[in-house]
Amino acid sequence: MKDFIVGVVITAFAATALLWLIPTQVAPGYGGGAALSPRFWPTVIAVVILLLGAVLSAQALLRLRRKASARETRTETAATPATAPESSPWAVWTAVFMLVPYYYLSLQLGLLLSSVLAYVAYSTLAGERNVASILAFAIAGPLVLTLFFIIVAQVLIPLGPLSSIY
Amino acid sequence: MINDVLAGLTLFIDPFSLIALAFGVLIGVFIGAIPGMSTVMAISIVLPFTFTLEPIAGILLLLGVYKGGMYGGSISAILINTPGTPAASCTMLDGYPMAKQGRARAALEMSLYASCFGDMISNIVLILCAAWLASFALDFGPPELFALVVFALIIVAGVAAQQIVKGFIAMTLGLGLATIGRDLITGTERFAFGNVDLSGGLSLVPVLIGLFALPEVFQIYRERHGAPKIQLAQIGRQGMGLKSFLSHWRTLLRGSVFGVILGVIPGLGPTPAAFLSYGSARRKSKDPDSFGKGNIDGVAAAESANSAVGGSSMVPLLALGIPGDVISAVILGAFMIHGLQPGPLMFQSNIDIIYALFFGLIAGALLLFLIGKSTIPLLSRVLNLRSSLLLPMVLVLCVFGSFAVNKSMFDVLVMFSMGVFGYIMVAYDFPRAPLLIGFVLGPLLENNLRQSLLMSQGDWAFFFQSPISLLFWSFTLIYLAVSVTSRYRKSRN
Repeated sequence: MKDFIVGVVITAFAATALLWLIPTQVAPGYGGGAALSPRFWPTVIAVVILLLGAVLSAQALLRLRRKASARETRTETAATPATAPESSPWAVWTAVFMLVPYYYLSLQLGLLLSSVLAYVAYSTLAGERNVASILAFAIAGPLVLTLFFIIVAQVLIPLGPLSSIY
Repeated sequence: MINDVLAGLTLFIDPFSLIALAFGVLIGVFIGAIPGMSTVMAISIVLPFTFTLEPIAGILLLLGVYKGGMYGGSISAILINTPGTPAASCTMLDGYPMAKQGRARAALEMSLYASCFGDMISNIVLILCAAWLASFALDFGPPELFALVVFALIIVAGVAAQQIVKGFIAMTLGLGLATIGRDLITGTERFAFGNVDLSGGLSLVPVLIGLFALPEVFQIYRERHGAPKIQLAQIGRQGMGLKSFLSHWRTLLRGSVFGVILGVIPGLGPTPAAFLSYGSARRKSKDPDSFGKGNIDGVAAAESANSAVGGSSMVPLLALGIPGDVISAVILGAFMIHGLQPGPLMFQSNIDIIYALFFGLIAGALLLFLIGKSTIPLLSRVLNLRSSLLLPMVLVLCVFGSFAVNKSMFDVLVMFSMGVFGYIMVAYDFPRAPLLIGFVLGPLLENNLRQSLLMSQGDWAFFFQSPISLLFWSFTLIYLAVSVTSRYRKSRN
């Protein structure tokens, strides 16, 4: 069922690209034939994705039908449900959404300070409870990286309020 | 000729040149192993230091970084499922499963030995066959390159995915991402939404890091049981003996041949060679189903091929003055800084430098073996860190690495976006390697398609006229037919 829905979503995305995204976001070419237009290659890609999405949905539908007919002919037995592994979806979503404040803090405070804060947050979220280790790595890691990029790689890392230091 | 060889040897055995080569290999391994830092970045960092060195020392320093980086990229691919280079994404397919099974040392050692093997074969072929290989590369025009890249992409999509349709979808999405930016011929914006940053297109490094590193970081939160001491795959004690290594000689030799032949063709890079070699090894294996689950032949095939590209990619550079990839372009820059112009004339006016470079390339393979072997025990110390401490540091490193490419926070945003997208791909069993390869080869594919159409004035038959094109189209059709048929038979059984 998962693959069927994914296939439908992919087909819908490709159709949107063909009908709206490409006509509005890519200017047509002038002369030289359709194949030389800037729209040509994205259109080819969108058509291929549309077809592949449809194939994926069709394959998933066929598998579902085969499973359904196999269930009808098989004698039902009580099956022990497989134990799903413990997982923490909320932790994943929290980790994903924490990227947003990390990004915006980087713009305001620079990469060094925001990375220190981000490291503390992510390490704590991962279950680390040794405060000394968290703080040691949170300060040492971003600091070493900052110094490496500024001094060795000659890349100016945005430091925000600390930029007066270097 | 003997005098030229001796003159080259005299230039090479200068202690400073040897130190520069060793230092380059060490830097390359170290930087290549760090997720977020690519071989291209390493070479770019080192390039300014070559200005003050003698020509041979400067160029050997860069070549050392290149060799070290190719192996270094496989270290992070094997240990934390994050390739340091696009080519290492092929090594990751079996290297990481091996690491999860406690066979990380064997995977790392095979990766190192295969790299050295492929590199040495490539160097020998370079020395013996530079002239012939250069003329072979000249036969590849836009339609031939188009057919070859299509073939390479089909192979990649096929080998990296359990479901071939998902592999193709991922690959095509990668091609689509590569269209963001400016049209190659007309210069018009595509999918920029009026944003200046998007009009420049997406950079490779943030896409690579986001796609492979971030999902691994998110994974520890998904699998969290409240226990902070989740251990990453240990290096393990079981290594790889010489006899065991040599038992894979067929895979290694085949991979090296793939790497040598494809490395000569300008613009391809090591990635198609790695995947073609991998696909071939899987087809010829007695146990093809074990590929992708920790088959050491997969690591051998990928690494021997991607390292064999290194030496042969110097062929168009030295013989024709045409850089084969980004790294060769940087090395070309180093030549020019020192007043040297690679090309046919260099073989006449500076033949001693050519021979010195040949000696350097061979020595580089030996140094890679020594330095690579010594880094494996050091890596185990890093990996003994708890994942709750290590992987957030990987995230921070990725942020710095993404920023450093173009000194732009936009790249960090791209990296985060690709990270979320990559995690969704993992959740829905879509392979990520074909997307990356589609992204890397997309511009080359489009460019050659449109150049061919320009040359032929829109005649599509032009793609099927030359024997080389027909050969690759045949390979593509045969591969598709065999692949689809075998999967259909498997599903019926």
